This record gives sequence, structure tokens and C-alpha cells, in this order.
Amino acid sequence: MATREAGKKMIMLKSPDGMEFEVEEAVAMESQTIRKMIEDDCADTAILIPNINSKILSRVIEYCNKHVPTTGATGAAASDTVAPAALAEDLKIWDAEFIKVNRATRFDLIQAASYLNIKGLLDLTSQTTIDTISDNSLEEIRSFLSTKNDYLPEEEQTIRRENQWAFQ
Amino acid sequence: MAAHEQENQQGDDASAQRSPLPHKVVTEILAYLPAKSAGRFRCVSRSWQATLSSARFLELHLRRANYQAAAGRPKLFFSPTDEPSDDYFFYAWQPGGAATKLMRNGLLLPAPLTKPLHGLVLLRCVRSGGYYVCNPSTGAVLPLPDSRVPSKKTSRYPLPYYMDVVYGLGYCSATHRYKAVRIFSKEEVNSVDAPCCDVFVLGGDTPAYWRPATSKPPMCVVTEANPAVFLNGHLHFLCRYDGGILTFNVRDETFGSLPLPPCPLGKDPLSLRTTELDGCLCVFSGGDPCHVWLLRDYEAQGWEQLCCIDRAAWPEPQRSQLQSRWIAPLCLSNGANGSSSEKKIMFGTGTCKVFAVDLNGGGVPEILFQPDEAIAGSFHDTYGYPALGLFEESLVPVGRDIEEMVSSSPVMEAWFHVLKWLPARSVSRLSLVSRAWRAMITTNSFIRSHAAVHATRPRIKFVLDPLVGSFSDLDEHMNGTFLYGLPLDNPVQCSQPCHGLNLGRWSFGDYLYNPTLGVSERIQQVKRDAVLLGSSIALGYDSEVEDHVIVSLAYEEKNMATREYKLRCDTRWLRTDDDWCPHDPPPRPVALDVPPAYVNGKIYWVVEPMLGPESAVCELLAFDVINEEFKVMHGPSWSSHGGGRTSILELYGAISMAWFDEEKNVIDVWRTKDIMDGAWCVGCRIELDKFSPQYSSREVMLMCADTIDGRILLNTGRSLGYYDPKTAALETIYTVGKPQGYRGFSATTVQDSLVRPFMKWWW
Repeated sequence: MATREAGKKMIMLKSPDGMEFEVEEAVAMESQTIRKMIEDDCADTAILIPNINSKILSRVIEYCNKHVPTTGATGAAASDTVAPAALAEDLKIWDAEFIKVNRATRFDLIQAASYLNIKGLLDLTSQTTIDTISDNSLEEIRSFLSTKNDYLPEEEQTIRRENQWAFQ
Repeated sequence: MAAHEQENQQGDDASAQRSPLPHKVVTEILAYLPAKSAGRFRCVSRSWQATLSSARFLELHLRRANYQAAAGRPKLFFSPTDEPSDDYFFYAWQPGGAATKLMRNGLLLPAPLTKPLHGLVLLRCVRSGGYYVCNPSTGAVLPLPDSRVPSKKTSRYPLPYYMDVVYGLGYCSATHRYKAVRIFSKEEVNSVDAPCCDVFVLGGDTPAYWRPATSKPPMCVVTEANPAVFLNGHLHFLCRYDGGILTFNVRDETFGSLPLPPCPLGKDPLSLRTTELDGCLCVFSGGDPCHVWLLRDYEAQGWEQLCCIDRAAWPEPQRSQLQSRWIAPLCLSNGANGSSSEKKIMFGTGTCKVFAVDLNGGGVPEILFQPDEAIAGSFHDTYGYPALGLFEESLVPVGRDIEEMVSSSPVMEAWFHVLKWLPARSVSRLSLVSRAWRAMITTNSFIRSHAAVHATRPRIKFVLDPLVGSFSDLDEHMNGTFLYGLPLDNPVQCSQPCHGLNLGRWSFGDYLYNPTLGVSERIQQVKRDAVLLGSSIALGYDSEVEDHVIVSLAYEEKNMATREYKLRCDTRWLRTDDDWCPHDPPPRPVALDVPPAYVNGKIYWVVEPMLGPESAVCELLAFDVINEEFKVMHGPSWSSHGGGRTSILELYGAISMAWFDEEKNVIDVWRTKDIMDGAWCVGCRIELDKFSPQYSSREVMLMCADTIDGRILLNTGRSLGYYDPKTAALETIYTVGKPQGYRGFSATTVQDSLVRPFMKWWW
């Protein structure tokens, strides 16, 4: 495995479209899926991340870089001088900026976070997607999902009755 | 990756050429092996995996591997009531052979309800009430959704709801799909709740759920004890009240009927049972004497009485050895010397014993199998449920359950994560998007994840009527919708939410409720002989079996002078138990004036200081919901206060105890870093003098803490206010003022959740 500056372990992540990303092991281990691969010694020189294209993968790495605990990208001194609360506030602002992407990208990020098992990113992306559906009608959601209404009229009536409290 | 695969392929071809036996011949041989052994060959390579999973091989294997059963040597399977290792396995047994261990099943008391259909059996887990489609050869189990406490049996006015449900498993040869079918019925029928039939198709690619059958069943009353029999492409449901046999064509989903055998079978029509025997539909009476009828000619509807056995006429010791509440014909078998001319009929009992009688039903029964002689583990009589089933070697898959389908589809899984953030109301509305969405939303894992996400944001509702589950939002009152306070002048003592449900004690009974869904269920009282001297009831959540548990502690005797007492303990797992189960009483008496609290897997009570062994310090009693064990723990050292009102509750995710000092008008909130070491300290002191008389330590109850800003919600029954421990400020969020004769409102903390409070019903 490649090593660079001050003995930091590096990991190579490969996207299915052939792009390679070299990241610190600690950053990659923000993903529980990758952490498990590394801990089980399944990760050789490079880890292929299926189903996640390079555009999304680079954004995921960007998120992990920012959220990796300890020193990370902000420099060694950061955690000593900045109060934890301020740091958390800073992260919140950064997250809000990070998530300003179109609906399709956000949805891809949810799938990536779910596959890679990155809880913070999954919560951030999925929580900010609820407005996509809560403001839309059933028909709009169906067309967005490209699904058909497969309920029989009578079946739909039964479900409405069973969940009457929600439709009041 | 592609290159690697190609290489593999070539490797297979090369070895196939070298191999003395061609692929096809090996396949033919493998088809004779038991499912477990043949299944192992799937690991050899991808091409073997494909071959051995093909429909052609599955069919060939079914025929070949079961040739002995076809030749009159049937194989049976069963599962002990209790295993020493606490690990549950299926076992198989064949006449003349030893019992062999099959796969682990992890099910408590699985009752095989049907004869194998290509190896698949419909099981009912007697303990949990849930239904499963199972392949005992591979150990694969598919839980049928909504089968533990079906929503159609718990719906309330004005919905239709049903008393009875019955399940069946059939196969559609046109689509090659297995269908689970269930019929709901009710004895007193009005226009809204005519019987209905649901179909659940197994093995699809998208998450599926029960859907209505294409046609409606005629009027009928079914019973759960008579699962449907699959034969000739039809499911056969035995109906009560001279309803005959209702047939359901599994392919086109239409209904028909068959008559019962011509003469009455025994006195009690309820004891009639159906099964399949010798390839025919069989009706028998489960009582004594046991008549067995076969529908020999399906087309002409010709019934034939096969035999009648009278257990009362049997000699000892067979008579008492075969005593059981369940008895059923399993199959016809060859005689002892293997000759097919002396056919016998094999029966199973609820104690898992197998015996054979002559076809004419006479003579002494020959006991063929006694499980306790064959394997370790105990075999109690099942309460009228089948204890054994016929076994078929099979590699037929049961299909994936909804949760597996969701996790294998990245898009579905993404929606799973998005939807869990939505309030329960929106989620319920979105169940109308499609059947797949509804299927996903109703899974345990979704309801669990949803409850976990919303656990940290308590909301407040008022209880209007616990009887019908009527609640109203605090916001509605703040907007002035209800100007004159609340109609309920008999306050309900509400617990904090526990995995989406609350427990309420009211003068008219105890209730479980989910204020979000607006539903409540009255808790049936424990049946006791003794006069009670007060009781305490608590709610907890068992994360291991994913079920809520209620614990009732009641005094049958207590004497403050002698400190003697008798405390009775009963527990009930909501969706698992039919009724209360007695539990060993706790090692200490509990104080009835302090409501118990559930925190992180344990229910806590304050120990009654006036009874039992004397203690210098305040003691707590903890019940570990998973281990079902009571433990005594140290509470805070109250000695500096000496007597007074206390309460116990969850604050900031941990256990806290509050002390209400009426003299000084303060509340001390104690907390502990580690409940096990018993070191408590005052976490905060709430000084109420400034806010008196609106808030006084005599009336205030602590409701919950806001996890975001850390404020604690105080409730006096007339006012609700947030107290900030950091600034000692108190913000009143709602008050009714001082109406004359008003006994106070009932406010409850609410966790937004889809969890339903309904218990398993016992009719």
C-alpha cells in the first residue's frame, strides 16, 4: 500500500468509469463498508467502488475529507484552538453548502452513502430530500419514480380507510 | 473483471472436456442427493450454480430425491418445543431410520400447516402467531407480511374488521409462481365487512404486499385452525356452520365449492379438519372417534370413508402414550415388512409421536416414533397445532422477503432512507404511491428506523379520550381552537414514549396508545383470584424480538406493620403472547405512587421503603427486558431530604430521578453516570419560588427534556412550561388559567411513529 508524508497510509479508490482517487486511509474509513474491507484485509492496492461514478465519488470523498475527525484538512492546530461547538457550527454551514446540488445528484449521493455506509452523509442527503416528496402530489411522485399506480380502485379505498387519520 | 470471468468460463469448459462424466450425467446423479448435499455443489463454480438452480434441475431433483417417499417410505419433519442449546433446528425422520438433524430454523414452535408443495411448507409460529413459507431442506424461511397481528383484525370503527383469518399456500402452474392466500371473515356480517381474500405472490423482483384477489369470496366463516389444503390447482377452505368446502382456483382466483362427506363426522363440527391424504382431499374429525374421509373422485365429488379410529378402545399403555390434543392422518405407508399390500395409515400427535393403524382403523396402534428417545430436547403437547409435517427434499427457493428486496435495490433503499425522515402522517399518505412503497413502509425495519429517527423530537399532545384514541395537538390549543380547556376532567397518567407507544393509566382502565396514529388499545387485566391491594403497570421494548412488553406488578398481600407482602408479577409480550404469563416476583416490593419508567432496555421502579427488607438508602428495581431478570440497584441518597414525592424518568437519554421538595419549592433532578455502580449526583436544581403559585413543587410533573436546547418540560395539569437549567428561566407554552373545579388536563409526550399498539388477539 502506498505511503505518503509522515507515514499516513493511502488508499486507492477506483470508480467504474476508470477514475482513480488516492485518499488517506482515515478518510476512506469514514465509510463503514470500506473500513470493513480494510479491517478484513480485503483491500489490496485499489478498491473498486461499483455503481458510483467518478463525479459522485469525488463529492463523497470531499465530504469524508471534511468530516474525518482529528486533524484532517484544516491542519493539526485546528482542533486545539477552535472550540468544538464552533467547529460543529462550521461543519453545519459547510454541509448546507455541500448539499446545494440538483435533485438527481442528491439522489445519487444517497445511494452512494447508503452503499458505502456513511451515516452522516446518508442522514444529510436523505433528510434534505424529504421536501422533494412532501410537497408533491402522489401523481408527481409516481412520475418522478416512473412507477404506475398499481392499486385497484377498491384496494386504494381500503388503504385510505385504514389510514384515515393521515388523510383528514 | 470481464477477462477474469472469461477465464473462469474457459476453465470450466476445459475441465468438462477432461472429465470422464459429462456435465449432464453428473446433473442426473446429483438429482438423487438430499437437498443439502446437492446444494453444496452450487459452490463449485458459476456454471454449476446456474445449472443446479435451474427450474429443470429443481424439478428433476424433486422427483429423484424423494423417490423413497413416493415408494411408500415417507419422511417427516418436526422441531422440538425446547432445545437444550436454545438453538432451534428441524429434524427429519423416516420409518425404520434414525432422526437426522436438518437446518437451523430460529423459529419458536413452528407448526407445519400444510403438506409440502414442491418441498415448501406453510408454517405458523405458535409463539409469535406469524406465518412463514419455509423450505425445511434448505432452512430458507419467508415471513409473510402483516401476519402476526393482521391490520384487518385490529381496525376499528368505522372500518370493517374481521374476527377470523385463515391462510393457505398454492401454486400457479401457468405463471410458475407460489401464492400465499388468506381469507378474512366474521360471524356477524353487515354490508361493510363481507369476507375478503388477499393474495401475496412469492418470488417477485419488486417488494410485494398482500393484494385483493381478483374475485370476492362468497359468504363464509373460516377458522384459523383449518388452513387451506392445496390440491388440483385449488385451495380448499373448510367453512363453519354447514358452509361446506370453499375452493379457490389459484390460477384465475375464482371461488367454487365442494360438499362435505355425506354423514356427520362426530358431534362437534368445530373439530372437523382437512388435509391431503393419498393424493386426495381428506376430511377427518380431530375428536374421538376419529373418522377419516377421502374425496376419491374429485370430479364426481365422491367421498369414501377410509377408516374410523376410536382411541378410547385402545389398550394401555398405547392409550396414554398417544394422549394428545392434536391428532391427524399424515400419509399411507407400507406395512412393517415393506409390502405395499398391507397398507397402513400413519398418524401424528401433538407430542410429536407417530403411530400406524391398519386401514380399517382397528387393532392396536403401532407406535413408530417417539422423539424424546431419538433426540435431546423436550416435546410438550402443542395446543391443538400440528407438531409434525411431511418432508420433501427440495431446492426450491422461498423467495426474498420485502426487506431483502429493498436492500438489494439501491433506488428502493435510497427512498427508504428519505421516507424515514418524514412524519408518520406523510409516510402513511405515501403508502398510496404504489404497492412496492406500501410494502416497504410496512416492514418492521422501516417502522423501527422511523421510530428511531423521530425518538429525539418529542411533541406534546393532549389526551381527549383514551377509550377511542382521541388526541389533540398542543398547537391546535395554542391557536385557540379549544377555548375552554379540555373536556377530560379525569386525568390520565401518561408514560413517556417507549419505541413509539405510550402507556396510560386512567380511572377506567389501562391503555396502550399511539397518539400520532390516534389509536389506543385497552389492556386486559390479569385474571386473578385474590383481591388486589394496588398495582403498577409498565411498558418496555424488547429489541431482540422486536416487541413491546408490559409488566404488571400487583399486591395480593401487604402489611405495613410487619413489613410482609405478597407481590405478583405478570408479563405479556404484545404481539407474541395471547395472554398474561406469570413471572417470578421481583426481589423487592415496589412503590405504587411512583410510576415506573423505561430507559434503554430496562424498566425501573422505586422500591417501597415501608415493606420488605429495610434499607438505609433508596433502592430501585430494574427489569431487564431481554433477559427477563429483575435486579436491585442503588438510587440517589435521599437522606439529606428525608421523605417526600419522587419520580423516575428518562431525561437526555438516561435514567433520572426527581425529588420534589415542597418546603423549599425546589425540584432536584438526580442523574447517574453508571447505574450499575450506583453513584448519583444532582444534575440540576429547579427553583420554582419565582414562578409560584403557577408552578409549585407540590403539583409539577417532569415530562421530558428537549434534546436540542436541554430545557425540561414541566406540567402542572393547568400549565406547561419549559425550564432552562442553564439560565433558570421558565417559559410557559400553554396554560388554561384557573378554571373552577377543573382537575387538570392530560398531556402526553409523543414520539412520531407508525408503531401500532394492538396486541395479539385471542379469539
